[in-house]
Amino acid sequence: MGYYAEPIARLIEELSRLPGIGPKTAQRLAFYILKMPKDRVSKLVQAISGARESIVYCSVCGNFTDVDPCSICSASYRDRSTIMVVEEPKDVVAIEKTRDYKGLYHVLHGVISPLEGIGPDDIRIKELLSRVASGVKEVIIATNPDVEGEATALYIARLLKPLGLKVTRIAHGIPVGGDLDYADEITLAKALEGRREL
Amino acid sequence: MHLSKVRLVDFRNFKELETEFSEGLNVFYGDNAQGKTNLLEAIYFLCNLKPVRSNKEQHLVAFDKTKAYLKGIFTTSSGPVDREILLNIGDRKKVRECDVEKKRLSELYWQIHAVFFSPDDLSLVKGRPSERRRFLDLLITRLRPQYGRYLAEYSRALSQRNRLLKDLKKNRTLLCALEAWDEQLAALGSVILKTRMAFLEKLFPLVKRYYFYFSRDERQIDIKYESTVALPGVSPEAFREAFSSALRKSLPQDVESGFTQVGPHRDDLQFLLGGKDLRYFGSQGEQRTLSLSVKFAERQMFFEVTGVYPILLLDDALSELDVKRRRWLLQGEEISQVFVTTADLSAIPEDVLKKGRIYRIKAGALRWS
Repeated sequence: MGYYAEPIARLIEELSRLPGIGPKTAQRLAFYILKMPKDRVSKLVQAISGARESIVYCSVCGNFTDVDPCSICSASYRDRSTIMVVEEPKDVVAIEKTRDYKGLYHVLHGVISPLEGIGPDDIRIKELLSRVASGVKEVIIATNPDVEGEATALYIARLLKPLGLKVTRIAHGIPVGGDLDYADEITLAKALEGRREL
Repeated sequence: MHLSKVRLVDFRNFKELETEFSEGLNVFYGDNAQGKTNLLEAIYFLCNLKPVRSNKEQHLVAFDKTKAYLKGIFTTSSGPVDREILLNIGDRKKVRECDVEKKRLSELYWQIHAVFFSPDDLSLVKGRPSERRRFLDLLITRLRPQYGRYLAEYSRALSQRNRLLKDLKKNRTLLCALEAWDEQLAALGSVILKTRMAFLEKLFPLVKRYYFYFSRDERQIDIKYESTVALPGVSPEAFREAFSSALRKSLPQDVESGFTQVGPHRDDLQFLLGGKDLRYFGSQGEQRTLSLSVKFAERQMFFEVTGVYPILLLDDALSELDVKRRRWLLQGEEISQVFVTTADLSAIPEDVLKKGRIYRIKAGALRWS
């Protein structure tokens, strides 16, 4: 079944292992790469392997970084009494873009999900516990508002509360600038549940 | 709302069929095994987007074919709505409404609904508890779409908890993670219970009323929601707490069996007639009457919420009833579209028959007579 020369087939196969890339997209990317100038291809290859080699997990918060501890954990201007707990490094980026949050982060690298065989010990909860001992006043839990994210939030809250910390959960609700009638029913219900007085 | 036109290709035993319907009574008449029921099933599928019986949609495709196509044109208060379904073996079904493909069921025109009754299908009454829950959940979801989302989240949390229960046998230290799931089950489950209760409060009196009408039994039928959590006397506000404590109490059994034994996923409906549980001890006749009453209650309930009567599909349902009730069934005081199958036209009162349209069905072909 040789539609492709062997090196092309291998490239397509590797590409299609990436998330969000199906066989069609992988094929399109492969043919695009083959048409790219050689120097741009080697830049791409270097960028991929360079990133993979120089990036490590921050020993404090668990985020991706090239210097350990990462630039957020070592910044003197950041508020060290607040830690925001997120699922993945991309969530840090999302919150950072708001430029409103000045505290530190803690990246769990996953959520509790027995179905996938992920228990509390398989994500970075122990590391969080050892961090909160030193002068932390508030922990904001910003896991996703799905069943697993919610369970993880509840689990962490239960561990932290006895330590006398303030534990908060980010609100869920209507997107800003959105129309009420475009929000789905469960979001509306949750927004109503978390309403506040004006 | 009524179905004014239908077109079927390779659906069950219909190779190709295109026809118009009356907005009142439509009679499908013919010998057995010619396709009368299949046509009702096609209408049901077009309205509710779920097969009547088997959950396997592939079974709806004609025996030696790989694709089936259904199209229905509905006349609604907001104009004609045409809906197409493409069934493809080995693929998800595609649904188009007014030429736009719809990915989410809740985006579809919600007032289109059909109620199907067949005296051969008594699973609603004597089937397993899951059949009654399915009936209840389907109907509530149709009327309150957010209920479906709660159900989905609940069942996700439930399978996580069940997985954890099985893992607990090997590793007791995981016990500390259980509470997070219990809390979610209680939060989501109590919403489900509250919604079911509020809904049943309206449905039960209707079932009683119809049962009384159809059975002429002076004994009243008594219906109860048999819950593993929300015991009688517990107010809806306390469901969450009641569920939490039920979960704590059943923990030893849950760990032993590896399943969560309490919650709305284990609840059932109980039908009592003179103290007799009709699910297990009802006669065939009593069970049929009850099933018919529940379907009529569903229809009335749908009307009270949406202001529109669902399409009524009656599969060979006349034989059990006397003339007065047949007449009432086929041309009740409400204006609604009715499809009925029969092998015997004399089962239908003559004056009623005159107002309806009669279709003769033979070997997967239909003739308007």
